[in-house]
Amino acid sequence: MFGSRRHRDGDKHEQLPPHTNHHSRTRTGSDRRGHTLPGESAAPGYTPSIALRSIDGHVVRTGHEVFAWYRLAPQRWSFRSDSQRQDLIHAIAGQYADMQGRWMHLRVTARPYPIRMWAEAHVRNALGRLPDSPGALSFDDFMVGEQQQLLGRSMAEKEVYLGVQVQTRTLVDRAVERAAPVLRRVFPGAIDAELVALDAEVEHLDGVIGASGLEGRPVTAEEMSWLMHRSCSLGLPAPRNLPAVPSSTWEPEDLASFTDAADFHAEPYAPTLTVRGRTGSNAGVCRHVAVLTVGQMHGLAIPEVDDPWMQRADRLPASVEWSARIYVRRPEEVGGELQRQMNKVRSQVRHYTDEHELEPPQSLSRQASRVLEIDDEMTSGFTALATRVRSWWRLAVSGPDDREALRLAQQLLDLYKPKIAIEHPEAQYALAREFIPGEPLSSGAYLRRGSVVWAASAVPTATAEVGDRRGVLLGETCTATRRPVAWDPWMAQEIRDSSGLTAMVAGLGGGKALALDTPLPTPSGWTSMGDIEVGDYLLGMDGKPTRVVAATDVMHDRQCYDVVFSDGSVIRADAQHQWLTRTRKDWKAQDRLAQRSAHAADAEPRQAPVAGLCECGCGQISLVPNQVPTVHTTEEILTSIRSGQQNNHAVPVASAFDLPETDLPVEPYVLGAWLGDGTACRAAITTFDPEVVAAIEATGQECRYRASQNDYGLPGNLQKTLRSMALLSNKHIPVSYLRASEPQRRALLAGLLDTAGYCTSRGGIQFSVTNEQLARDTRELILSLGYKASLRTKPCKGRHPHTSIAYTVAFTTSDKVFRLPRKLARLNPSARSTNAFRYITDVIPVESVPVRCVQVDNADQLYLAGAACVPTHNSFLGGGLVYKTLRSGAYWTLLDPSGPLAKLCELPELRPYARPINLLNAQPGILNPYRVVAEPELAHYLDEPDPERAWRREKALTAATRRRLVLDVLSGLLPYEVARMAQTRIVLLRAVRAVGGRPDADPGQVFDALRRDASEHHEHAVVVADFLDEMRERMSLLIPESGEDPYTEVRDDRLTVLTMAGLTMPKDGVGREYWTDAEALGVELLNLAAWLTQRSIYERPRDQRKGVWIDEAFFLSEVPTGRVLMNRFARDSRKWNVRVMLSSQIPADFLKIQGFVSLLDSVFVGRLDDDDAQADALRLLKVPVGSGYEQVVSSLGRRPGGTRTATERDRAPRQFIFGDGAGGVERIRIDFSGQHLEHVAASLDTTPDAQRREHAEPAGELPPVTVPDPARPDQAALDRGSADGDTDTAFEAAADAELGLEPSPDAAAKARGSSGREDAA
Amino acid sequence: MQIRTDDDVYRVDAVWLGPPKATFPWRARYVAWGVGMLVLLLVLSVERQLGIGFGFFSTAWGLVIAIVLTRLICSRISTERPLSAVAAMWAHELTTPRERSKGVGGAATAARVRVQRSRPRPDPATAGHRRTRKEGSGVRVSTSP
Repeated sequence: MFGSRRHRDGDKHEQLPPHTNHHSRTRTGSDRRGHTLPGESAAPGYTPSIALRSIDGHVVRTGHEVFAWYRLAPQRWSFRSDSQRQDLIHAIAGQYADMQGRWMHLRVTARPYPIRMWAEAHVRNALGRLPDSPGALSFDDFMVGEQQQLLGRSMAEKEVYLGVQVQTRTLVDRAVERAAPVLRRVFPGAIDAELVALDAEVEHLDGVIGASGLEGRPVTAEEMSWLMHRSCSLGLPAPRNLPAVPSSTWEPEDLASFTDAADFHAEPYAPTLTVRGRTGSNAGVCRHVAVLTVGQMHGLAIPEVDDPWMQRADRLPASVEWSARIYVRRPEEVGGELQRQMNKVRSQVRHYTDEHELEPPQSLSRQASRVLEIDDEMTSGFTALATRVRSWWRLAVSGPDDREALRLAQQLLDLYKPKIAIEHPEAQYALAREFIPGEPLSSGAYLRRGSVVWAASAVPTATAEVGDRRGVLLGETCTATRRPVAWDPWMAQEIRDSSGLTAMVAGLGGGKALALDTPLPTPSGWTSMGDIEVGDYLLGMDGKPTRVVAATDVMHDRQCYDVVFSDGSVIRADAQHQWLTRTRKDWKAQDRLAQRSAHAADAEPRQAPVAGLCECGCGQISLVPNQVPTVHTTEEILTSIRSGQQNNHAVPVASAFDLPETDLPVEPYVLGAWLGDGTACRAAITTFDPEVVAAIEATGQECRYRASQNDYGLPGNLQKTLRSMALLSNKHIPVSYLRASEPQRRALLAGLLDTAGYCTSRGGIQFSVTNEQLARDTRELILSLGYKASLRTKPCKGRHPHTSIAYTVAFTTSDKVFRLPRKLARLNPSARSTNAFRYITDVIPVESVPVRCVQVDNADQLYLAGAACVPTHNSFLGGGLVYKTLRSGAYWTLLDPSGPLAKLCELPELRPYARPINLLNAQPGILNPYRVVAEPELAHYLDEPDPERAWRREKALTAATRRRLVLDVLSGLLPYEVARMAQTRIVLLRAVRAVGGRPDADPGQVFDALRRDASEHHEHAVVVADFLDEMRERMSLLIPESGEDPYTEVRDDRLTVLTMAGLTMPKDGVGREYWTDAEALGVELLNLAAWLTQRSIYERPRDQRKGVWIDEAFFLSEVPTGRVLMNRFARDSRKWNVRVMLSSQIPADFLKIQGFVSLLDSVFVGRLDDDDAQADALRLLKVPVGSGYEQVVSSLGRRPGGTRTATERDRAPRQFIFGDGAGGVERIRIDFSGQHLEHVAASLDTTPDAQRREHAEPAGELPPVTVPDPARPDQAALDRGSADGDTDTAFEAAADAELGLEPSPDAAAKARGSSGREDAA
Repeated sequence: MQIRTDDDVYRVDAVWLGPPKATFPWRARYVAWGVGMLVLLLVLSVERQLGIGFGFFSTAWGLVIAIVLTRLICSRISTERPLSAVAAMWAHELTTPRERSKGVGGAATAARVRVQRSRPRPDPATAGHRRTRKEGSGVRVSTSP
């Protein structure tokens, strides 16, 4: 219907008349022209009924105008500071202001990208995928699972086009165009003359639009064709195949491919327009389009409060097309208009006031001031930011039927309320025609006037896209729009030429467990997990004191068990751990002995036997009943856990602890009494017991009976004090009282029990309230006094639901815990004290983990376990990423010291291709610093301009690196005082230099060289050598056994996981001088293991996709060679196509490495709770600090309303802020929850769960480590290279300088002698 | 930054409250007055055409109808949708393409084709005369037997 051929009479071209008269018409009407052969009629011509006439490059001509079209680049809006956003808006406004007197047409459309296309791109990109293992998840099923997880979603991309009017066309131009077919043969130059004359103008426009802000580049023919197609079939889904784009010139007939694609029609005054597809994949598809327009707008505060008003429409689940016509007015046009408006306003005001003596409405004065404002803006300053525009903004939404379309339209209206009114006018067809480039404006209604700053603040190009569209699926964005996020870790190196470094930073998950090196508060000061002993007293995370019942050493690779106690607390211990327990046998022995003693005393009336020894004096038989617990190991406990039906083992409990007396604002007994029976909102007590009143008055607090309320008021400062302690209407025991001295706590307990406590007939004491917090606090108090208390709940009748549960704390003792005489009388003095022991109820085997555990009293508050059990979000994300990219054909080397990712090797589909290596159990010499740095091969440098020279330079650098590494490792292993001395460094340097940087050396040779040192530091060298020899056994990993080389075997694994389970690492913040030997060794071993992962990069072909993941990379900032390693990673990650992922829990460690942020490509930031950590994480993301984004970091994944005492683990998917290195920074949610990934997620879940009864697999001996040896063709090259000594020494000197080694005196002399120093970088 | 449109300035509702010191009880825009005048004239001329004579009630009713019509029209007109735009949109609504329920064209019919079994031949009487005539000009051949 666009190109209908019926409506033109008198057209020059032949038209297609009604069919029956076809032949006669041509024969009679136009014999003479058009056809050459008899009987042939001229082909019917075509004039499209859209205004567009021709497309030349990016210049588009209609009958009357010439437009130049540009495609605008997407701009990131989120995670930018307000000033950056303002600058963007001002830049765009400035560009608009340059177009004074021109019309602009802004078009926003969307190019869909269904999940199917992602899957195709992903599979095409998966080169060399992992072969399927029988019985495991195949690649096809895996891809099906991925697509099913995102069924129905799309990664649609928003495209923004801007058309700018270049010039209107004159009559001559139009005539020339009409005659184009003729002129083309006669005078071809005339056709292009028009456009050639416009050349300068178009170039000027190209420059203006291409500047930053809009960043537009001229459209290509394909893009123009796409835009035309989408506009002419507004509302139809995107076509599968677009019509082909002509290569040379566009004829009017070519436009038929757009115009014939769809039909529009509508009923009179219908709210929607019906569009029906006619050709291609849309043939017969019928959809309804609702076209809306932007009405009146309130003032908006962009960017502080509101988002750009065109971006708000992105929240709609369907795609919205925009078409805006903007005319930028010249200042002189506006000035006159403003004057007229001012006059109008003034005359109205005069009319009201002078002629009718009425108050003029407020709007008039407001309008007057606004006019003055605008006038001021336009006349002041040099900036053109006050240029005025007239604009019409249209939106279009479509749906399969009119109800859907109207529903979407209504949603859009609601989205914009109340600040922006969206109108739904009539004449839908005419409004829809406006979307087509070149069509005129349909009507002048809904005209929006404003400044260019207002027009620019729409920011049409603001997007929230992150990641690419062909990589592995990570999850989805959790901004207002939910878009799936895919990331290809090798796209940066292959396409964008950037480095391959990724940083992953996330704190602990869940917030319940504590890291090993966290300082812990105690009543007397601070301690740390590593230093805690049994019997130490800790203060829990919320200030309540707890006792440490047991503490273990760090153990690794041992069979571990979870030991469960009768009050619910759990401790994880290994099989050999020794417990002091009393068994039933011991009790029975005690009873028997007591019985016999009593029997003996009855039988013979002599003096009672002396406790301790028998009276015969032999000293061998003890008469003291055996109350001392004996030692049992966990395994013994496991076998003898029950005797009959009863628990057999009881562990003694530490007694009430001693705290110093503190200053308490309220007398503890009074506070206890008020908490038990007092009115919650006042300092008054509701009791009828004169004994209680007497007891209170005995403490010095006056009680005054108030008949009106029937209670006893407690006058004085009490109410004020209670208010200041925040106790009014919030009954609980303040922390200071729980940390007070024993007499004070006993007084508090007495007050509580006197008012709300009860003594049973058997001597059990119960304290019952309906306030859960108070009940828990009382339980803590009782525990702190050395009794064993239990908490039970029972429903009761209360006035409100939250007071209908009674919490009862019960304990048994015969101590005088009351003060009231009548309650004291009920105490049972012979109640057997059950407070001294705690029974073991269960021993559950768990998988072997390195453990250092302490157990504390309140099991529901702290459960501390070993380092590997601390849940981290980093491992989950990294593990999922590694798994998915392994399936797509990558090769990974992981360094995971604590080992949760080693479980990936056990997955059935990865098992044949994966190899876990425990470095601490591996062959000696695996971490030899000389072998760990890979030797460069000539073959790797063949693409350099001078391969030989580059290779030799690289070899010198490698040798220097080895020397530096050995130097640092050995210095790190020496005690701090020795390592700090200058002579140490000198002798080590000399020894290292004597050994050289050969790949076949080992540190043993350095020790020998130290002993052979004949310089003036000879004795010191021997001392150093002695120190190092002493540690030789612990350095067995560094020094290979003679004749054996752990690097001989060559293997080809896709996944290699290096674990170092059981390594001790120094705590954060502790200086180097306080590290223990084990910790220093741990750091150096980890350093060498990191170099080992780097070595694995060079064993594979350069273009193969490789990955390296280093967990707990914080140590890299501790060692001097950490920076060297980082530089090597950054340099080689692009050339060798490696993705290096470094994960840590503290972002400051990455920032300590200089220049790290500039080398970084992508960043994942998880939840961090510390302010400094948040600021550092934002620096890694290159997001401005201090603009309020720290809250975003701290609120990642935090569910609102989560409680501290929730017993369900938080299973919400983890959230990260993802910066993908290509400019996108967004908040994403990691989603590996598909059913096809269940087994992977289960193996990566490292949060401890005492209820999980997994059968532990014995940690058997792992196969000895063999790492492939680089081929040895460079022996000959070595010999050859040494002949060219001059350049080599120069290289060496330069390499030394780069690594910070002092050059040896002879090398320095040679370097000075040789001419020209090259740059060794 | 505070971002506002300029539409506020252009939404001055110029109102005529009446002659000085005599305030009308209604508030009518100047536009409404203008439209009202035109509509009144139109209504009165329509009345005349219909033959209703001039009288008090006919004029009064004409006035009432004019006021009602003016209010109707002016409710449609606002600063957002000025009169020209309202008229343009009305015209567009009228010219919107409607759904074509019947298609153009149809099945091809062969009813007009006349079929003969063989093509018509010239009758033999004049055949001989014709056969000796050459079909094309060109080589001259003597016609003498």
